[in-house]
Amino acid sequence: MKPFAIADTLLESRFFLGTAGYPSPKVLQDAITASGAAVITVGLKRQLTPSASGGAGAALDNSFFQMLKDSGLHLLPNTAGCKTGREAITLAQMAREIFGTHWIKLEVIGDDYTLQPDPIELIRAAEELTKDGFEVFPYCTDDLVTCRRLLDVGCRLLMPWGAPIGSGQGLTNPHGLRILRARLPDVPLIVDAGIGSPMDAVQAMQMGYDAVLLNSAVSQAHDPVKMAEAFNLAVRAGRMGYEAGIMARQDMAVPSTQVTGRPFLL
Amino acid sequence: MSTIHISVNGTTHDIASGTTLAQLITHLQSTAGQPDDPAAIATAINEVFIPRPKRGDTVLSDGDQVFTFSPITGG
Repeated sequence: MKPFAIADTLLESRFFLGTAGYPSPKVLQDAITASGAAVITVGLKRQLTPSASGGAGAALDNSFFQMLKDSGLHLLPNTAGCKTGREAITLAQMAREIFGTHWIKLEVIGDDYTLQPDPIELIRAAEELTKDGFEVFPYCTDDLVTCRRLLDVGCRLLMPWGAPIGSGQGLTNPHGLRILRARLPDVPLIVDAGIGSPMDAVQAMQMGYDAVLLNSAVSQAHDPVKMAEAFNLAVRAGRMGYEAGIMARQDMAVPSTQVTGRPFLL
Repeated sequence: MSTIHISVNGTTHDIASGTTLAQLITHLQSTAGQPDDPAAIATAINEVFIPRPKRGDTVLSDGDQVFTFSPITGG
């Protein structure tokens, strides 16, 4: 599969993988390898000392963090937990220093139950961060106008949700995602959040989305490493299907074998 | 020597007046049995990011809320 360009970077994979909630650092490391991902997401937590690894929200001990930094993978820190633009800006600045990257997955949450982004705070933070030199990966919904405003303030790509974070519901509004793809044909679009199965990834990629970002669907699988490989294949298959051109649906059957009527009826 | 009251990640600390953020971080890491590694954490005071090179020039004030963040896994 040929590389694709995003944020002035050529990536070998269209699969972005989250690193939270794995049974152990070893499983996470093996899942990253199986996924073929070129981008992995990380976070920051209010604490003094990085220590034990493993499990949800685990601290990255120094050796494991160093392994990630040395792996050649692109780190995409997030601003998880932020509810205001101001919080997100400060956390983004801290992430830039700690992780050594100007990429930031900008999350500003507006609702505790759905983890739906707050579009007003998101746009405010995105504007300030892009002015400050960040490459903002905004976690947003499929609302077209909000997405346009994010582009207006300097975002060069968008990450609309498929469904609420961690819900595994798949693409709950495929119509909205198709409209977004159609109206923003030249903007890199990454479906972020809500994907539950490889089938969902295929669906997103076949719509023409440029990449998918997911975490729980892999980390919560019975076998995360095998699931990471499954998504690796699904993302590639979906993209290949999109590039190959998917046939138009027909209401009625269209015979594929060109026979001459019934075989024995003259 | 006078003391001031600050909080670190929500926990109150009494420190000497004139202490810098860099000195505080060194003290906290030492107390926690951690190596002196300023790059292991990012810092903020009163929700404002303080870059690592500025910690030595940042003198803490009474009532300051200091926050330290370190890397975790994330989605």
